Amino acid sequence: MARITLENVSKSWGETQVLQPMNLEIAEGEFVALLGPSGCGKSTTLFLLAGLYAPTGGTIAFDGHSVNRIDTRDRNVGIVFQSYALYPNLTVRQNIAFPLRFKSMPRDEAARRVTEAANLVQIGALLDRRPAQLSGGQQQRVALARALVKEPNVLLLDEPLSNLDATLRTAMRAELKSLQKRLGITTLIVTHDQIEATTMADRVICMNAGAIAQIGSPADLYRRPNDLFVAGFIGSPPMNRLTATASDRRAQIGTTTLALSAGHDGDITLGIRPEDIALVAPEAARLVGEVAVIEPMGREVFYTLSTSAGALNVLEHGETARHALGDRVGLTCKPGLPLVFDEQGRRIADLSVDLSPVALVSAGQLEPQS
Amino acid sequence: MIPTAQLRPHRPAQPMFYLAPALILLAVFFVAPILVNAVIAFTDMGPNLRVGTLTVENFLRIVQRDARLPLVLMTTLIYVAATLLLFNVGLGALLAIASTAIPDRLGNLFRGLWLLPRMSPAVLYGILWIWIADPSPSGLLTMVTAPLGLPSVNLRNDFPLLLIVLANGVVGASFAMVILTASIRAIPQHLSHAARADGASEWGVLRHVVAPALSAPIRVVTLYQALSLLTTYEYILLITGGGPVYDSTPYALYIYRRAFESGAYGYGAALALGLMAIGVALTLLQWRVSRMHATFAAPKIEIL
Amino acid sequence: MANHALVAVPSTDWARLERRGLVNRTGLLTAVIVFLTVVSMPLLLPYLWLAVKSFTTSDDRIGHLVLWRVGLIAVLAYAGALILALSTARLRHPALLWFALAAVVVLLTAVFVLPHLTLANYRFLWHRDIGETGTSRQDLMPSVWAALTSSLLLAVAQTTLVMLTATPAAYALSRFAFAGRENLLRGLLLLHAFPALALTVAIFVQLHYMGLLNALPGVVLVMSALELPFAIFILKGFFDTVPWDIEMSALTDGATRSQVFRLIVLPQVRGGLIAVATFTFLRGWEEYVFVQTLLIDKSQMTMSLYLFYVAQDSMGADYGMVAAVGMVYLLPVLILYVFTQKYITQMNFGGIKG
Repeated sequence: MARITLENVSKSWGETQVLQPMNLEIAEGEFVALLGPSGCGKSTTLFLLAGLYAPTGGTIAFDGHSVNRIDTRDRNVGIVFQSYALYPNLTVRQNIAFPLRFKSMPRDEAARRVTEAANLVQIGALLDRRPAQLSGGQQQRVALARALVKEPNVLLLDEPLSNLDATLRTAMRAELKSLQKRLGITTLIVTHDQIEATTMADRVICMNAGAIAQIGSPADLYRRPNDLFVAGFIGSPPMNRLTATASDRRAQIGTTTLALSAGHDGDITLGIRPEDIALVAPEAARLVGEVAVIEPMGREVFYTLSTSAGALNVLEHGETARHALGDRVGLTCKPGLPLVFDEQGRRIADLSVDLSPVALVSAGQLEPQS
Repeated sequence: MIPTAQLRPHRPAQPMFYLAPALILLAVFFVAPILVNAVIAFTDMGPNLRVGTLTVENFLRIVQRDARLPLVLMTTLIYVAATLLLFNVGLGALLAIASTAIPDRLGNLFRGLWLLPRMSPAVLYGILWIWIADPSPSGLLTMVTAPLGLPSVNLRNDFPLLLIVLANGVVGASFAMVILTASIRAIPQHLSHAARADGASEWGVLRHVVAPALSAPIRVVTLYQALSLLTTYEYILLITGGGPVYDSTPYALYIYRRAFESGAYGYGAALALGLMAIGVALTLLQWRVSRMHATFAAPKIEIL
Repeated sequence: MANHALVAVPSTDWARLERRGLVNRTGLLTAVIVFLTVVSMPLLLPYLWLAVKSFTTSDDRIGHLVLWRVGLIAVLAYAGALILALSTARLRHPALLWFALAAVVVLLTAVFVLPHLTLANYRFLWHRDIGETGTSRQDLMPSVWAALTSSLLLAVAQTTLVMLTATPAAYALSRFAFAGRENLLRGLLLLHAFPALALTVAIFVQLHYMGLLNALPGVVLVMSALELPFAIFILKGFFDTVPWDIEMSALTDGATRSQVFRLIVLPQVRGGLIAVATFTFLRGWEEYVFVQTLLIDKSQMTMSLYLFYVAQDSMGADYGMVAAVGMVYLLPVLILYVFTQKYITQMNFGGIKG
């Protein structure tokens, strides 16, 4: 168990800087996810922590001690690689016991630990097989046992679930989370899958182009993204973006004018999540669109609407579509949910746009059409 | 009935057209000499290249009356085993491992350097070794040992076997070096990363990750190079000429010397048959050791 | 595992681990570089000696002097380059330092080495009278240019013949499904491993009866045939790596198999073609045994025989000139090698891979 501190840590390969100077603090026993698209520097960060790469600048510290000059083998980190990296010439038992070879440990103590680690990830019956005889999920468990057997201070997971099929991935997510809580090891997972990050981690570090875009709880990232990148990366299907022009307390979107909750001037981008939009009768809404595409997805129906401000996606609960192609529908949203971003793509806090239903003379027309 | 659309007549590719030139060349100048050799082996062909009588005399001579043959076989064994273990496999593997452990451009420099002897024309390479071994003050070895107060040695006369082992080994090491470098490069990087994270030192990575990946290619290289050492004699012919007397004459060179120095073509051909048998046997063994599935894998497009 | 959190973790001695890491990293790198340098030095020394001899008079003292000086300058240049290369990241003007190093090396060479050098050993390039006997000895030795031409002719002819026959054959073996394919492959593999040098006797006799003895075409045909199995297998290995999808897609686009071969596949194995052509050329350029055995007529002497006879001169060999001939013989190889090194080192010899 270690507290990890990154102070101005940067990394360059020759001329190309893959990691901007980065500051980060990970508490003892915390489960943190590094989330971002491929090439954003998240795996580089992981390898820097492991000592497999040397930082170009800055300090990496475990429990307040700089480990910049400490070799990987002396850092006491456990890693699970995306490809699992099992040694093909060793049996499962030998693979798990491998890290213990380098510690002076009595033979029976080592054997006990191997069995324990294997049982922990439920592969006790596979100990005498070779990696090639295992399924992907079993290999993953062996890799996990191997990382855990030496009781590491830090557990590093590099896209550990991305080679598993969907069902297994869901099961392993829950298992990893409960295992981490039980052992209390400081854990860092690298992933490009936002579901993996938000379901498992206490804190998510969203990275973009070699820099941290935002650090926060999953809810923070979803409801209060710092910028358009985080807003677009978190959430599926992605957030709708509408460009608008604000002057004083009004925003001009296509042919529609909406009220702003505070005064602002200049070009803005509205961000509205597809699942936050409710479809109502056109007269009951401030923004109106026409149904262009309907995609039933089982429990939900996914609409693409064309509005004067551009195309908008809407996710509506229900097994069958309540609207037909070409229908005119109104779009409404609870107050405060639509986000507003400035010209640089940064979110303007405490600014929202009013997309709430229009108060009508006859309340009955607010009811959804059947 | 579906009408067959035939826009233009399709002339299928004829594998034979592709293969014929190579096969004809091989048949006339490779396979035919093998047969010619088999025939000559049963004749008394001498310096005038005339066939007198058909006879098994040559073979009787090999097994019963060739007094030099035991020495030649002993020389062959020592020469092949020593060169193979020390250089063609040992030094080659060391060079591959060492040159991949340092920055790539420096590694390439050293690998390029070790390919230089292989690239050098054989006659020139031979002359360089003769100069190294030259016992006079202008010999390279003497130039190095003389300031140290060591007496000069005549390698060609006193240690001819050592000389041919060194000369062939320095060329031979590059083969294993190239093959094993490729094998080391093919090891997935995450394996060595995992080993380091598991606490392995550089030595541990070498022992547990690199060595297992090299065992199969080393077996193949060993057999391949054993065969190659058994059958080539060019450098030896150029450096010691097999001498003094027959002291550094392995079997392959013995064939050449018997035929072209003594003019005993029939006897040389008979000796050559023996080497061919060994060559075929080693090749068959090599097929068992190396996985040849990839080589024999069936084509995936069946039409021609 | 379960009591993981309860295990008393001994406090880590960070300073000791740091020292260990430093020793590990720099120590290992230094040890490996020193090892490679030490084993490679004896390899390079003879080539240095060759160059020095070719440019100095036959006086041994001058030869030794120049060799030691060149050796010291080379060691200096190597050490300097090594230090610069390993510390490039920490230097502010690496280009300037490289330039300074080069300048120092050039200066040292100009001052300490250049005055002792001579071109006299290269006189054979413009004089036929290499023995300085007053007669040109034309009956004994052709001019070096004739020998160079013969070698070039031999190497180019052999390379052309091998490439033209091996490439289609390798493609057919790699890509065409036909009866007997596997047996043909086995036969070729056997020939590939066949002790070809043991056939010298039979080839000598066969060429004698075919009337091809003592003629360059005979040597070319024999050596091409002996190189063929090797070339076919290397090329087949390269053809094997071309993805089938590309070829299938080209067929669906309406190409015939032979068009696919010429237009799509051949350009993809360019590296392999270059590597095999280079190797075949070098084999022809350096060939000694078959040239010696099958070419008796001195007028067709190749460079290998020329060098051999210059070195074996019964009048007492002129080492300076032998070295100079060697340099002339080696230079084309080095130039070719510099341009093709990256292709050569990519080769998988005869389907041998890990």
